[in-house]
Amino acid sequence: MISETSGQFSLDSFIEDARKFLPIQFPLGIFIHNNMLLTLEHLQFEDALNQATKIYGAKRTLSEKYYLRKFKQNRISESHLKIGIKDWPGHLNNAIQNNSELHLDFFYHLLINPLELHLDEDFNNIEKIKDDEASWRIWQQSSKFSSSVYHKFQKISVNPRKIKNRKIWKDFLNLNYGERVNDHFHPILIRFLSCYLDQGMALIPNPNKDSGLLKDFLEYLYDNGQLLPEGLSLKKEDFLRLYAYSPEQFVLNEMQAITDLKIPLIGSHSENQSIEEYMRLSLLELRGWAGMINKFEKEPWLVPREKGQMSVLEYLGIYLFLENRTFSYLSKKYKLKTDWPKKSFVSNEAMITLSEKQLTFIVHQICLRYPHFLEKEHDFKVHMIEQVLKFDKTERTIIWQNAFDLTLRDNYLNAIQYARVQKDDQKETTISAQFVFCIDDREESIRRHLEEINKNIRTYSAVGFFGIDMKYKSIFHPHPLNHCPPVVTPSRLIYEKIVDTDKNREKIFGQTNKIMAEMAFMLFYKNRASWYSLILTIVLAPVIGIYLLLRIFKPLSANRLTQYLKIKLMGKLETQLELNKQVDETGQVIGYDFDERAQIVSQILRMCGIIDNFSPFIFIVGHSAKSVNNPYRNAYGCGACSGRAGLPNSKIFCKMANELMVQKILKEKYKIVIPTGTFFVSTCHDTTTDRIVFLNEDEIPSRSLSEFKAIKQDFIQAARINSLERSRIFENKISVNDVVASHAHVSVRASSMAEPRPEYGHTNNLGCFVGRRETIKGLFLDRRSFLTSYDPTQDPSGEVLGMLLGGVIPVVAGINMDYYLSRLDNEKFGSGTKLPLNVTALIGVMTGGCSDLRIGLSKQMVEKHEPVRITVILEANLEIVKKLIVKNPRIKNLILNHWIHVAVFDPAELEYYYLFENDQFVKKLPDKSHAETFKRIKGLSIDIVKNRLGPIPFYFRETNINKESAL
Amino acid sequence: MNTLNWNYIGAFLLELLPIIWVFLYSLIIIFGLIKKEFLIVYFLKLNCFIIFLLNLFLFTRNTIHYHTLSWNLNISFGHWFNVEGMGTKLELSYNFESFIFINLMVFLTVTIARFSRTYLHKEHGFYRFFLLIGIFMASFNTVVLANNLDLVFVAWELIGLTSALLIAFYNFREQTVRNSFWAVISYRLSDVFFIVALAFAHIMFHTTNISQLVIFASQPAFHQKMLIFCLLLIVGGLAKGAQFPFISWPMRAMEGPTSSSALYYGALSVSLGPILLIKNFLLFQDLLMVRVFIGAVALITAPMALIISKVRSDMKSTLAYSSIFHISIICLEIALGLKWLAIFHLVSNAFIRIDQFLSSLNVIQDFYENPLFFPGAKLNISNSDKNFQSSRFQKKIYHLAVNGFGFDWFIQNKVIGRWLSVLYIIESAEDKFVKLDPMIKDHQDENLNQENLWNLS
Repeated sequence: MISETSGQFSLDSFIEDARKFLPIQFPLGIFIHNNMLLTLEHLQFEDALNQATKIYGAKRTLSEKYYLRKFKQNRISESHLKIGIKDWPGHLNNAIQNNSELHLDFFYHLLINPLELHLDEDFNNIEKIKDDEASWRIWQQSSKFSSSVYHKFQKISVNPRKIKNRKIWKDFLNLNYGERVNDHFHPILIRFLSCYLDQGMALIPNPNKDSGLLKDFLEYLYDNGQLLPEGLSLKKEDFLRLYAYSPEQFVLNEMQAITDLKIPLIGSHSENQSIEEYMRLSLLELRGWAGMINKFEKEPWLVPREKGQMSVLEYLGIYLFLENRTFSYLSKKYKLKTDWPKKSFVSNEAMITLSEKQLTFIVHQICLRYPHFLEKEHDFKVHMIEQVLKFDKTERTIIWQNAFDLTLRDNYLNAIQYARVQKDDQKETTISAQFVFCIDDREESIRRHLEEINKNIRTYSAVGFFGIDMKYKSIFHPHPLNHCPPVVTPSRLIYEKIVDTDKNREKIFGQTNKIMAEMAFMLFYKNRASWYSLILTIVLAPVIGIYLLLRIFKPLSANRLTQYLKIKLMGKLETQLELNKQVDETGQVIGYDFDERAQIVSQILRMCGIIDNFSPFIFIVGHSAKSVNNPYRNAYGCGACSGRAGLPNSKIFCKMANELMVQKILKEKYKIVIPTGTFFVSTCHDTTTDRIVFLNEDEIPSRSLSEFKAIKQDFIQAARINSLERSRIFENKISVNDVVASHAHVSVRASSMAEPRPEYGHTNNLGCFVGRRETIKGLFLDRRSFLTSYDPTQDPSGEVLGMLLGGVIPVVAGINMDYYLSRLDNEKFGSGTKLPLNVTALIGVMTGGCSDLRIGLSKQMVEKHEPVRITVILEANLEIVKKLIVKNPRIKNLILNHWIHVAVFDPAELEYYYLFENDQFVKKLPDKSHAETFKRIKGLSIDIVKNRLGPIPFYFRETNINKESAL
Repeated sequence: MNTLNWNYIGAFLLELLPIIWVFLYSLIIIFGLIKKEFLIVYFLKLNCFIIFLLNLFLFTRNTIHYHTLSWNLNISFGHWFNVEGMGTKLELSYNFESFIFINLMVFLTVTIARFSRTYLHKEHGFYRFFLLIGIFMASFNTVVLANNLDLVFVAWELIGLTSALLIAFYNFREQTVRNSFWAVISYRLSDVFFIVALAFAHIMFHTTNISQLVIFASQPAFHQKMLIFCLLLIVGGLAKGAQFPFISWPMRAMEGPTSSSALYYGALSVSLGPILLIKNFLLFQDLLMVRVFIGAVALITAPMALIISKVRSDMKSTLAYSSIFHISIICLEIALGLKWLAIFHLVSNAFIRIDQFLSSLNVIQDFYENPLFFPGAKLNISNSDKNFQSSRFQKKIYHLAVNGFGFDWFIQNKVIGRWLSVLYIIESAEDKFVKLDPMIKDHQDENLNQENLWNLS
């Protein structure tokens, strides 16, 4: 950065600093939820959001209508609004302390019934005012007053939050000449970038992939000769000269050109015209592409197939080059040399002119709501008017958003607190089965249904990869894929091999697999524009036409037909997992040895708290999600398995846990005795279709088969009821009260290529509970909370909690922030609507034929999400938690800078809990009035959700368990 | 016209039904009679079903009557206007080709309607979408059925209008709306030639009815004029099929929802070029120059579209250009006289392209699940397996193709730019003569920000 003293500009440090504002996004094939503003986590949440919205030009909050609507639905509490007003800096002045209550009331009413001010010259509401006698009298008095103070309010400054950094020359040309500067050179650049970053979409690959982004771009401009937008063509001498520059020289050259051309830079108010700010804005104009280039440069292992040479520095050079050229061409065209207007543009002078009538209107409205306003002292009146002018929509919506956030946080905290003080009088029954799910919030509902259907079932949750940090290679895919959280580096490779009873069939399978893969590619590449396609089109049209009609009108049948054909062609094969530890030629470790297996199993069992109370069946449930025609498919998968299905993890875990050798080591080393009758069942729950797959049913010992069948039926029924609970959000009236209909409906949704909303994913997530199931049993959490099983009584040192937090908190914060930002401004932080999206270069999507690479989630995924920050509740001892937070820098940032809310519920202290507010953990007593009004409901979850649309508050379900209040 | 002629009534209904549907639909929307989305789609499907039945009825009746497939019905409805001998006669013509094309339209519209029912659910503009599809159906129907080129031109323009409105479907994005202008500009530039052709026909032949023009075409005395007329008409039909030189607008036209892009630029709207040629086939069947001209345009467009499609790395552009490639080959087939091969090719192309467009978002899953796709994989595509250096010439062609051969810039700089500069000169002259009110100018300055910076509402 240029420092005033040394005057030394360092390009490297500028680029490193600018990288922080580029959005973090992964190529779409490995989409993972993450905090888009990950690099700003060292700032306070509010500051980071303010900075990001300023730089991205995004909205800071949702619309005021939204919040008023939520207020009517009782989703925002009055007390939080009043606290928000009290904390608003413009609220109180020392001079008017004695009127504080009235003041608070006044602003509160201004919040609930906002002032409608029309900036047109002729008011329609003056007529309405004239009708009412009293109102008209007040109007005349206000008019007299306002004319006396009008000189003070003639020009008022704009809310600094609204000022976004922009390039004034682009704005000026747009507004005065209708010239959209970006349209002039963006298409050229985007066409080039999409071909350079291509991973195999185009039949003809880029021949210049190794010469570097800059050099290829210069060749591209030169080769196109005059067929470019005006001002961008390169002459031969220029081309040769520029081609010889290194990227750093090129960028410095362009920076010099900015100064030489005297381009008016940006700046807000009277600040310095900063060239770094200008360059940073240039980098962020096409932030999707810049972010992807940044990702490929920094983490080349993420590239799906082949990466070319590229760097953010070269991209910046290219962009500045195009901008400068366009600037010089346009300024010549419109004959604007150096006399760029210095008038009141958006970012420079931010003042608004108020007319006297408008001022009178404001005073009039104040008088209506604040009694005897005109009789107060002059200074007080002037000050009030100033404050009301400052209390504009931006400030109001920020107060609304904060209140919304805190209300939902408190709802969640109070619900958990209420539940945990209920005493459980139920006698301990024998446990007939235990289920271990993933921590995903979508599994919260199926756990409830399962527990209601069969009182003898206990459910737990562990992170969905079940401790198995592996790369997994299936028989269909020769390339191993990560099946562990993105923060964990996989340490093993585990592959699936075909049981070699029939070598012939294996050979046929291999060949068929290869042929089908090649045919798929051939159809992809050749069935477009190629000389083959002339024949292919005519030959294949009937088949494809009929298949298309089938897929659109009868998606389920088409799906079944495809599956059937696949099985017929490939044949059903018996496969086996290679788990024995060995090292292959490349040094890759394969499999786990028995000690490691025991360690993994013991870890999960200990985290869940299943150590001495084993039931005959322990179901390990992974989850997957099926959808068609969905570029964000991996966003619906198991986040703990990097967006893939948790199926192999579950299978491997059960295989390990069922082994006698492993159980022996568990007994000897970890003191966990698994009884001989216990069997680990491996299953996978498809969250979109709500179907369960049982993977090792054939290994169940025959004596327990009948009990197993009963529990299996319970599980399947729970999944069906789950689909009914999920169907509420689809606004499909038929399926909201019929289990069978909703189950059929969700299957169709998942198989239909015309459905942009196969499921709603992590919509409405607002909490994460890390603790025992018994603590919150009975709570209806409306699928809004992640649940992690953790037994604080078994973990006095906090070691297990430390491992858990390191895995759970970053994942959960990433998911929450992704949804939050994409909901806040879907055009700037999200991908907009899914309909015009166009897959580009196999790494991302553009809107239409040539636009910026879109970041974030699409509108169809987040439209129902209520954007609040997540509340993580830890059932543990406060001191242990404090020690653990300090150890992990990322968690420390997240908590201290308020990106997430954290509360600690100590199991030994039931009457209160600790909430992290401002800078420390504060003891909070539960709201007594809340405890009295918290709804207890007699009935099952299905009774709560049937026929009910919209958000449901948290309830406490009294099922047959006799729970009475302990307090 | 006195006797109750089934053909007459059938063709009349066939032509009028989609138009009536548009009016009924507008009434429904204005008065809010139907609010449920799926009922609207059923209404459209009902319309398509009735058209299908009518079509089948007319076709089977006539085929049984004539015992052959090469019959041709000409049904006249009188004059649109007639001033001293110059006028337009409304006539429909129905034959086997019309049967095929109307069936194609019906099947594809029903597919897209069913697709859009869930796809456009909760989209702002759901009703607008179906209105535009309805207008498109009515216009396409007219183009296929009309015997009179004036009527064809009206429908032709309407299709261009709906095409532009569907590209600009998301009108809150300024970039989208500006991109739709490219389609409008290309359509307009060739519409000029179309209108000149029609005027020429009125002056020289005093008619624009195809069946009457065919009579002129068979007389050697009119060969010269017919040649000019056909050439003008063909240039008028080039933009819809994105043939040379209107080759660059599809790159910018993929801004609308996938279902409309599929229907228009995959299947039906691009096929209008060949359909126009097929309708007028008898006019230039004996004119070698015209056929050479069509062939030349096709042979220039085909390699360009081929290369652009092979080089583009975003799915929809690739598909649009492969559709255009096929269209140019279809035009070549028409030039060679292989009419029925062209029709078959056209229908096949329509189905395949729609399928590829509608499942275009599935590409990522298809690739990542394919065993041959992994980091460092050598896919069996040109040049990636072989380790050779591309020559300078190959790289130049590659770079040109990435830019789409620069035709949009060419048109912008050389064609439109000239006109725009004239307009700017006029505007700046106006500024000199008319002094703007200073208050208005201040107001303009304050509204420099697009949104209202400050309001208390």
